[in-house]
Amino acid sequence: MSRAISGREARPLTSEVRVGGGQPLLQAINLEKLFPVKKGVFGKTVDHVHAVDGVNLTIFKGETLGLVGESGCGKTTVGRAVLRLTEPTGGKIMFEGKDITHLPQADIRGMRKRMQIVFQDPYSSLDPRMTVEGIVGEGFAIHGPPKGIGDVEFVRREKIHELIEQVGLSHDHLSRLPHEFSGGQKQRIALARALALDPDFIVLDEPTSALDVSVQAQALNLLKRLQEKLGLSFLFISHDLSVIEHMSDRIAVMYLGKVVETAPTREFMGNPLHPYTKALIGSIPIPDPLKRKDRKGIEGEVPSPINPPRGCRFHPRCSVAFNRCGWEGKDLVTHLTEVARVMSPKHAISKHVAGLRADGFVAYVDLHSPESLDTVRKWLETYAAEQRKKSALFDSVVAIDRFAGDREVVVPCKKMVVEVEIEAPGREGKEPPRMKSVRQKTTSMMVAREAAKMIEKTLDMDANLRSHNLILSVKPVQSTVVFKVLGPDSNLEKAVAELDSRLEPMRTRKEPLALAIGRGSIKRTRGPKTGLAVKLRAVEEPQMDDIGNGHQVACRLYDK
Amino acid sequence: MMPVTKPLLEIKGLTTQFFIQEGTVTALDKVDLTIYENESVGIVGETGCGKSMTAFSILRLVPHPGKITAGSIKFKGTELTALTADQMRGVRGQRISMIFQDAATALDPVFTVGYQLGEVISLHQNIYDKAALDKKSEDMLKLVKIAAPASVLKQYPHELSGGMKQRVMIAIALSCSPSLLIADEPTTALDVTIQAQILNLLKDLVRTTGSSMMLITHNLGVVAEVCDRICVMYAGRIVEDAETFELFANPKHPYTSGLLSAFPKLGERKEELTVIRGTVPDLMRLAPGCAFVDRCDKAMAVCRKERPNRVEVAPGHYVSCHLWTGGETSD
Repeated sequence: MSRAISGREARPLTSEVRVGGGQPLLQAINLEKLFPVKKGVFGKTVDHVHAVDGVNLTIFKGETLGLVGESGCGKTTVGRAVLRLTEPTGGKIMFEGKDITHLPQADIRGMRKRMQIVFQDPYSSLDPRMTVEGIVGEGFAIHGPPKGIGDVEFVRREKIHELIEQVGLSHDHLSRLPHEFSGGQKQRIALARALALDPDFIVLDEPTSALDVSVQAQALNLLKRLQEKLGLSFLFISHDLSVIEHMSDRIAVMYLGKVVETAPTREFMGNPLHPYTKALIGSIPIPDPLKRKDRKGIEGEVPSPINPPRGCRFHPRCSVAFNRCGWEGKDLVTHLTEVARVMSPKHAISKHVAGLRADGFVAYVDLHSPESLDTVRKWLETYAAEQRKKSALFDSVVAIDRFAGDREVVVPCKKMVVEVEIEAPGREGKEPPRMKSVRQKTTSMMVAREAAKMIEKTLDMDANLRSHNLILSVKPVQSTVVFKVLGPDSNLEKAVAELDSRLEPMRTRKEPLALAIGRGSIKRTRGPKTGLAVKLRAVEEPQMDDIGNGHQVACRLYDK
Repeated sequence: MMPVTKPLLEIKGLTTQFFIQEGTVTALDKVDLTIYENESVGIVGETGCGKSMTAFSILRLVPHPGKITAGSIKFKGTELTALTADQMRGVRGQRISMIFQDAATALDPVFTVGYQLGEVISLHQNIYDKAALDKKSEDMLKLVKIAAPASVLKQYPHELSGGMKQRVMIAIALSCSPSLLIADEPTTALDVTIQAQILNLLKDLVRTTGSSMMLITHNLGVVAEVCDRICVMYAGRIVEDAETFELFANPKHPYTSGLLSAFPKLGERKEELTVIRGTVPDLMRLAPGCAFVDRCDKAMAVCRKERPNRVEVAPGHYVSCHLWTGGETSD
């Protein structure tokens, strides 16, 4: 049942369990939404908030997929992006096998008839100046009156009556205004509005988190009953795992813009695998004093999504993280300053060290003078050897060495033009969709960004290369990619040669990205002649792996 | 394990009313509540049931146009309702302190954490020496397990995360070693993982400092986890009051049992949740009988006419329901 999926790094979802023999209704493939962080007078984009960063989800017909996570993990953004209420910045959304990612707004409006949303806060999602009848019937004003026999107005009123009864309210509520209702009733009105156009799919974004327990139970039961009766599919978003478990056929857990685990509910509760999922389940207070336990929970707080941790995003808080989880320079710098306290005046090496900097999988140790390089290196090596056994962070240190601080490799990039075939929507009802070819242009700056990722992946992470774990700070700088190399100066030339030999076969295969990347050269820069760097093992983000039983998890512990 | 210690706070017949144009809202209706020394008591109920108003009444912070109209609040033998405003100020913060639900709004955004902590300490303990204040503030932040207390003291509330702000609030509340700590929904605005951290912290601190705690929440899981005794409130009245284990094992009031089964429990998936039908009654138009009568499946004729008295059905287990007062069964 795996659908052919094209696109960057997309992997077909092979063992999704079908619920009720259903077809995938909605698929999000590598969905990405970055919000720009702007700064300065001219509003220059300096960084991005990685709200949703490569999410794959499938929702089958008639099922409820529960999406759970802490605040700020991007679950609401996923819900909005699949409906294109916020435009995704990358990836694909397929609805009934049709790509709706780039559908023009006019066409997406037609699709909205079939995809609806119920928002979290019933107090602000209903127009206070419209009557219930106006709110529930608003969809008909846009999408045309409901189908039925007889007078249009009569059919419309009948339909609204039917809807309002379906959600457990009565006819005499129709002429009232939202402020006359309680929170639970308002949420029922919002649900009636969502149901008005007979949708197939509804995003429920924390529909009960503003409600009291007794009213929440009523609302949850109502949702279940309606789903059964009308054959709806739900994306149920909540931070409350107990509610998610009650409602969902399958559960997906998000952490910092990534889905880290998905599984059918029974499998999920019986056999949670990801350390974050386990901690999440363990943190929930259980209303039964007999099950009271001294829970350990997770230490620390969710890191910023602006510069999320490399490798596995959960590694800084994970209690079972090991040396392949993606320990970074910033983890090491934090350890050295806060635990080892190398910067406090009493410390043996503090008089040699001017500062500590982190950059990706490197920690730079700035020195007052190059003479003290060996002293500091020796201390670091001894310390790392001591800590290696008890700390996964030091276990992932691969090299402590000097590097040429005044020279770097600069790789120029050109702009890229690719011809792609896309499906152009035909005019509704008149023409079938047809294929047309479009020249897709990519600016040199965007090529540089892609190239930086590619260079780090090949040169630094490939264990077969001599440059393995020697590449420092690969960065796109305008239309070039710049990096430094650990070890003696000759390593720079070796890295340039290695990169070329890697790119050559790709160029002969006419791969557009490889063709857009030029030949690297060594340039002089400012900075001390030699510096000291601690290199940590560069790893990729863990990908979702199939465990069987429809269970997928993104964690290095379960690597095959 | 009923505590054999002395009662710390004794509330009898506490009634708080709001006089508004449309009429009188009875927010608290003859509330009886006793908190013993070294005890954690949970107050559970839904929105508008008077949980927070109980706390505000104890501290005499009932907002205008509300008034305490009847009843007594005895704290260590002192009648709080009879104190002057000045005397009351000596109680608040020093002997009874409170943690509010939303730490983000409870902390002043224009002062540093150090200033706000130091303010409380200098006010109640008459310490004015800057170095001594800083030392004491730092110790308080260490107590609530803040990793770098010296730097947090110099920071403003907006620089801290939600969990950190709540830790600062707890530090402020505990800075004068109060005998009673009132925590009003201390974890409602936080994520579950942070909630677990804060609850563990509160549990530890209450155990080590020997103060009593009144924990107000709508989350039954939280009270089950933390409290020794639980009071269930409904429409301004305490309907059931029992030790935690007893309450969860033998809920006597139909509202309590309804609430327990309406709560989705992790790992116990059911097809349908049990529902309490209807909604909370209007506090301005309460019938003379039991406030829960319209939503109760076991309602009898007497429930509409008379308000049930509080009876002890088991040692330390009190309930206000005609099912247990020996009222005749008739439907």
